[in-house]
Amino acid sequence: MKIKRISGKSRLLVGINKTNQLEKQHWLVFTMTLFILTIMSWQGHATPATLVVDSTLKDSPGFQAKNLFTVKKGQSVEIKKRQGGWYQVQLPNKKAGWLTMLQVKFQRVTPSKKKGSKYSEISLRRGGSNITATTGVRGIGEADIKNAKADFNALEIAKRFKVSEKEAKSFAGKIPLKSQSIKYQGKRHD
Amino acid sequence: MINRFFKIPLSCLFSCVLFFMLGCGLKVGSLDVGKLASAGAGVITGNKMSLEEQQAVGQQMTAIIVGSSKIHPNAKLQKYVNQVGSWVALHANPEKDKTAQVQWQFIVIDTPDFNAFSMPGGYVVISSGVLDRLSSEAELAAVLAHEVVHIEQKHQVKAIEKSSTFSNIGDLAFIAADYRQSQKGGYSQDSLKNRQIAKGLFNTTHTLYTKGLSREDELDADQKAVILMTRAGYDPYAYLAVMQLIESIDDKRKTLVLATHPKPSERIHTAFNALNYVEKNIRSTKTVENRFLSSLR
Repeated sequence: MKIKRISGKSRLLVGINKTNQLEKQHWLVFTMTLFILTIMSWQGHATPATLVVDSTLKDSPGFQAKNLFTVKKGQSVEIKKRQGGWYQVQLPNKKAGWLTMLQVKFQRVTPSKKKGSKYSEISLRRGGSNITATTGVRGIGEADIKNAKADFNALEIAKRFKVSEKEAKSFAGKIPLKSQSIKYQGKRHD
Repeated sequence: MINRFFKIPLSCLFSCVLFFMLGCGLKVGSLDVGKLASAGAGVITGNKMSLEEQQAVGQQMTAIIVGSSKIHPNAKLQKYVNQVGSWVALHANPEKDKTAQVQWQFIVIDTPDFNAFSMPGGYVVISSGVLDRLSSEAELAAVLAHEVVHIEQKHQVKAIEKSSTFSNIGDLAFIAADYRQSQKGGYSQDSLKNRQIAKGLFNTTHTLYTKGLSREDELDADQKAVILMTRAGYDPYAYLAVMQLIESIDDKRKTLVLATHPKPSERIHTAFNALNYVEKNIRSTKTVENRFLSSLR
């Protein structure tokens, strides 16, 4: 009886340990999923675009890079990332390659006409963020400026966020962003 | 006859009040009404507006632009946009005079449209709709650099000075200071005159920010902004990406941009030429995606 009781207790202990382990595993899976979803939400915002000329895709950004294959004008692609003046694009058949920025045009983002469709437009946004807190979809039009009331209180609030030269330099130093001395061009060359 | 009879004493009275204020350095709210009044005198006699006068007028205009929407409540975001904007602006060479220099102030307004505005004296307003659509700090720097160049090159100031309808801008600023006070329910001088001139200031702002600057000034801002952001160490190709983005946005979300800027294709062409010019400086520039994304969260 004594042994049985001990074994019963130990079975119970094993059970508790198992539950703890399971909880830990669940927690781990949950955290991992959240992490992966966050990463996906950062990187999953490919921009739909269309080729404006017949183009030969390269295996890396640069004119000297190896040619991969040619794609016809009008082909839909997804822009995955940009490096300098080059976009990495992916075709619907998952083949990918690099082309120069001006070989594509972004596809037009048209908000859905359905009622309450604010979110369908946001999901197409490139930045993948939505910091606009305004409910409703209206923005500023000509009439809004015409009928505006001067908001001096907002200017007082905004003053709090002013940045000194020293602060701006320290902010740039964190990346770091390096200043360069370049003269403005003379006359514009069209 | 009666009208003429009253007009003379009224204008005399107004001049006396103006003279009195100039002498006393009267302050209304945070504005020095005396200085604002002298701004009017300067413009009326055909002189250029001083930097301090530009700031006073710019402040009024900014209050109207922000008033057409509302300031974004996210303090972290406001700070971040000021950090990027101020860093970019450090690489510009705006006008300085003995008593004043441009005070850079960047303000995010909460609206889904794609809009950015710059006002004389160093004020820049950007919509959250712009931030929602961008992908990197370099792209934000591109939008802000365009506005900083307008201020650096005094594009709006020159438009105000050139236009005969804005000849009494000093009056406008003077009365706007009083208008601010009257909104708080106090101080008012000559309500009829004030209302008339405050309306004038609104019309000035309305015209400037819905009709826009000249095509030359806009393309000049595009060309110089590419160079300015490269000076600040940002990848200038982001400028081209922003132009492509503007081209793709639904017209309803960029009505003001369409009404006040040349066609995106023309702007892309100008930006591309400027990119060729800075090509040799591109190697050490950065796009900065992570800090941008984390600042928007």
